[in-house]
Amino acid sequence: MDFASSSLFTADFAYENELDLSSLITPSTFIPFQEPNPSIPTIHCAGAENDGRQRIRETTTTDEIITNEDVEPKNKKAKRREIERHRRQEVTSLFGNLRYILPSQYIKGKRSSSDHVQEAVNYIKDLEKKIKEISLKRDRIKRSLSHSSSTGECSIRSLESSYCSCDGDTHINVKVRTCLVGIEIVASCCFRQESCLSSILQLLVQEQCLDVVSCISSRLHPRFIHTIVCESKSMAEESPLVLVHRPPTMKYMDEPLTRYYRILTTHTSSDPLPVFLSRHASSVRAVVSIGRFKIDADFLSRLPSLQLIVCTSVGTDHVDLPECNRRGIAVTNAGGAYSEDVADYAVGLLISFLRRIPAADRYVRSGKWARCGEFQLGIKLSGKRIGILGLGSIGSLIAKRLEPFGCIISYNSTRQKQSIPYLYYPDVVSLAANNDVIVLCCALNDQTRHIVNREVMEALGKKGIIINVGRGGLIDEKEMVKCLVEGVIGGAGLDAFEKEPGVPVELFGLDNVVLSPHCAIATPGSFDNVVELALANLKAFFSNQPLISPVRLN
Amino acid sequence: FTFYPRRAQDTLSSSLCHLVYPTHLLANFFPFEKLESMESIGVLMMCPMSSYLENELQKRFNPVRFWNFPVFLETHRNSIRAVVGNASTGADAELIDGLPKLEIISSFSVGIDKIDLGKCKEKGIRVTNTPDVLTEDVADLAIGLILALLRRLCECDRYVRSRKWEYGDFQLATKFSGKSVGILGLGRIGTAIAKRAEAFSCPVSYYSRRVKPDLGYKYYPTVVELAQNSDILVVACPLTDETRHIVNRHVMDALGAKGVLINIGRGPHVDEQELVNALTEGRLGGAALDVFEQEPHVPEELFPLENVVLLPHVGSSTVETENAMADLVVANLEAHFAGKSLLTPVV
Repeated sequence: MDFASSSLFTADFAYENELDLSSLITPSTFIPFQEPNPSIPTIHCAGAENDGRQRIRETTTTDEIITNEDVEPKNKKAKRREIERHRRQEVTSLFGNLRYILPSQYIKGKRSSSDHVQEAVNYIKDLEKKIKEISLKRDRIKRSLSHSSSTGECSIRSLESSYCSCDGDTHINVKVRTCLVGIEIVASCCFRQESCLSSILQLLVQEQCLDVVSCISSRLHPRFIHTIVCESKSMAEESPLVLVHRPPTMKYMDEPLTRYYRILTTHTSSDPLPVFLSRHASSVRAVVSIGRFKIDADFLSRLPSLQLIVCTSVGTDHVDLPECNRRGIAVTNAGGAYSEDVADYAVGLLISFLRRIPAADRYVRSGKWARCGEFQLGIKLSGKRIGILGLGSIGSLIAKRLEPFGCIISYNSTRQKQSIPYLYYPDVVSLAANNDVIVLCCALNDQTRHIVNREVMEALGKKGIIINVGRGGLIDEKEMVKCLVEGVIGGAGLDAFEKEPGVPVELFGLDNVVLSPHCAIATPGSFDNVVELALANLKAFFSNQPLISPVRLN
Repeated sequence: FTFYPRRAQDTLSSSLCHLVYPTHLLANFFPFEKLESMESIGVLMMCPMSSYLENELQKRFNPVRFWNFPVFLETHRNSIRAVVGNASTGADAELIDGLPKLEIISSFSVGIDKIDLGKCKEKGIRVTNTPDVLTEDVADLAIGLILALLRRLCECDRYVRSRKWEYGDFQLATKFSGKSVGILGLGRIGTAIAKRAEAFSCPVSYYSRRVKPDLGYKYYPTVVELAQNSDILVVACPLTDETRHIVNRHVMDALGAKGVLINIGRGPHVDEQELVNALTEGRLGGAALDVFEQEPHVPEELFPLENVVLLPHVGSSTVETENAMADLVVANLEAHFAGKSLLTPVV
């Protein structure tokens, strides 16, 4: 409130009326009064007289005083009278403004200007009280969310260490008790420590389930005792309930979701999943699916109100899409949030395989370079023919990255895209026959399961390489292991397997594979992207807007 | 001279070669130095480089293998008219002085820091190297090193092979796309690296002796400034007296705990002791090194670190490129002894 920041109220005045204005007064701000002579800067000082009225004295700057030294006293008197008159006018206008600024309940029945000033003081006190109540609320919520100790003293204990220069006890005592309506907080602090009550109220403000009913401050010299009574109420019904279906280790979505929604996690209860769902989740309209937990027809049947499934992965093969289509449930995925990282990783796997980087690194670290001589030769990347299976967002980024390496790009996709400059092959076998490397980055569904089978691998040939950054189910894994061991294909760089984290043991001893624990997306930036995208999809859903990254269900 | 250990697969073929063609013995018995056909020209090979190269030289000239019979250098000194060196062993002043009939040094590499160029100029000896044929491979390896380092590919491979994946997921790595790449030395290799990095949406900047305005990358006048403004610093300049230890403590501090260093130049470009200290103390984010000061000895303090990738100087070690380099070396030698102009002369 601009008014409160004026220089009318000094520290003494505030103290006499038990106002805590130290944070409000900023000595550098002045109300821009109308000045009699704009070229002469004036200084405003205020003092409090004993009866509570304030006195404003205007003095001119020293320059003016010096130049006017030789002016006759008569002129000075006239000037002073002029200044007095001007001051009185301004004070009247100021008090006139008070009537318009204060809310009506304070002005009712009061006519004189000193009453108005008193009411202004009351108004400021009330506002302060409200601020403190709200901050106490926030304290409480913070504490309950972080499951801290029941008395809540830990969050307030930090105030105890603040410095106080007076003689009274410097520390703050806080006791929290339950009472009829909720909880009662009694805080006793040194009278100079103005921040105590406001800090408590600040913390309470964040507490959503507590309402501050009353806050009474009394002074027993040299301490203040604040008694705050808060009423507990049930959480607002307005934030929707979202079911989070995730493994226990993947917690990154929990905190962002709780900012806007109430969440229910499936792994925390001891009940088996169907029982848990039937019991708790009948009103759930949206599910967030993290990790590779299956969402099948049985799961869907236990959530009668379900309308949206938000997946944090790009692949939606773990969701029964035809069933969702039948039930009218929308599904969203991670869209393009991961694409750059996966494309980088695919290129990294390819170069690491061709130039034998992991094997060479092992060679140096085992000391063999000094003992056994040169490492074996690698294979040149430039000029290789690369066939991309599935030219979606990931596939096109891979193509963009491999072009300056001098690679020749071709692709196979469900639909031929007219604007793409790369060569199109109508089926996988011809793609494999005409390329040195095939990169798998298409979705896994019924048509693409085991799309890379023995026939494709034989077409790829002895010098052919498979790079898989899609799903393990795209490759017939048993056949692939046989082909690698027998030398039917040249080698592979694999980020995904059919039964993760189980990897066929025959691969561990092979030199012509680079293995990776499904971490093509594992960078902090991509997790932030997917969190943002999931929240955007949920927000769009709950406000009936179109979804950001929906998946085609048919 | 460093006595370079040879590749395991070379041993048998080389020994057999000597049994079938005992050329060193013939040279003693038939000192026909006036023989103009090239089969008698002695070409000194400093160390095993490539069996393909050895075969090609054997077909045309009279290769003398320094690592097999160093003591026979005394008897051959008058028949050796060419030296073939590589990145690890060249021709220093002592060797050049010891070969009175030396006419040409053909290096099986593009870096010629191991050859005493001043002495060559003084004596009128020609020097050739192998530029352009290996540019793409070295640039590919630089990008491969960046990806392997930032995305922890070597660790991922170890993680799966040691079956640790069954107990828990791998930790987060660092994203590459969009990181700023600073290239020290924008020559052929540096430009190729810049082109590849651009496809990953990385802003590219460089430091070089001269500004190159038509390439469109940001220029920094000092290495420290380049390091301050880059997340990834790639060393791709030749080794000369000015660039020795060009990556020193100041540069590494400017690169910082979030920056990484990629060295595909020469080991002496980087102050190795300082690098080891910075990595073990955590002052530098990571390093991927293909070259070291005392190859093949790598500081053992680096072995247990997770944020390093160490490679045994495989910058141009692919089958296709080594063959191309060997062809270029042989072509240069043939051109010289036939009196034609050299293909890739340095001096």
